[in-house]
Amino acid sequence: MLKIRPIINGEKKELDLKDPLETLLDFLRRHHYVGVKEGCRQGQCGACTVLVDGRPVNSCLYLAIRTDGKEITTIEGLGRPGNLNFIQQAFLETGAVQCGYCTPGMVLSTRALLDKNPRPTEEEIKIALDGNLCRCTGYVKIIEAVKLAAQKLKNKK
Amino acid sequence: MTGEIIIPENIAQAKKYLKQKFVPLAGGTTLLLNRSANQKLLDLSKLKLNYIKYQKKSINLGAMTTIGELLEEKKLENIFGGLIPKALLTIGSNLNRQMITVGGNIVGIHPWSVLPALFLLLNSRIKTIQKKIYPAEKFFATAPKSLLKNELVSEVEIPLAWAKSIGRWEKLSLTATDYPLISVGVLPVEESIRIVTVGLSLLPQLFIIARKNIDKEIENIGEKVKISQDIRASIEYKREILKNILTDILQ
Repeated sequence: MLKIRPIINGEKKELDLKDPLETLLDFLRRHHYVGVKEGCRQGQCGACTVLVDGRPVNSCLYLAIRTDGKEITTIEGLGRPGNLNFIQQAFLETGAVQCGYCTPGMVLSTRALLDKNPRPTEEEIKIALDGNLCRCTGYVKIIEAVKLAAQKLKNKK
Repeated sequence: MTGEIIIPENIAQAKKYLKQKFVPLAGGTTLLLNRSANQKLLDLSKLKLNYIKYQKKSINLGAMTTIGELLEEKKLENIFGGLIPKALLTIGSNLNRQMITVGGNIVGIHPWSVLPALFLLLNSRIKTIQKKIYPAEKFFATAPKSLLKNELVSEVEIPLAWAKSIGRWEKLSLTATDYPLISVGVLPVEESIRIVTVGLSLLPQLFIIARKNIDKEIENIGEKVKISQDIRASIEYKREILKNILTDILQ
């Protein structure tokens, strides 16, 4: 059985691949990282967003085998109920979540943005999140959430 | 869906598998979207083709460099009047841009592919691991896959002779991340103006016009340009839009 050794949410893992061309989306969900959501499977909606070495990617179009030795961050790696990450907290406080299906992707894209650019402009926020679609709330609250997360990050420093 | 994948560690290994009909896998955004059963893929991610090198007279982009990596390269904002990042930001979404590579975008060409047009506009040269060099005009005169056969693109060389010229890039689409109905790139060079189009036909089209009689030159482009059928807009509409965009940019 083919195995790969990614670092998932900071933990070194050795996990099997179902087949050599298994996508990262299927691989992660099969190994119980179900915060990664399946949406369009065409790289259009962003529900399956995860970070690979800090970069946000569509895991539906990314082969799991390519993550051997790389760092993967899923939404489970940011925070848990009762111990939310500051970005998740910002989404909660601004009411940027309705059905929640797109939220893991939104939060991870925000994380990638703030890691590189802690004080983004509204235009930069829109560009960073342009691959994450929300069909419930519209984007006003989501952009507010990212701004609040940036403020929280600044206050932490 | 099952299949086979080889991840060569060096160019010599890659060449061997290319001869065995393995399909090169770059960013994967097109290839993995159109998967077929029992695909045999050659993953190029460990060939060290991921770089941006500055030479005296050129910038050389490794074929596996992603659009996201190019957009983080601040020096690219200071040449051609910021044309390169402006064009790159019209490619797909941020998530797509972290995956799409230079090599994949120019070889797996689509009517909406931006890099072929950009490299054509900048008079670039495309190099292969077999040490062949193609001027962009030759490389994009036909579908690159039919030209390359068992060759593999290693890098794109952008000459810097015109780096001080101020280029423009305009995209017209239904949404910011949608495929363009039409994109136009413009670069004034000495007494002429170079113009490329995206979204009008499979291959990008280059026009070189004189700076004099701009109105007449734009009319000529409108007559010469090849426009394929597109369910989203008529040929006549696209022709008029092209002329309007050029008029806005050039006058």
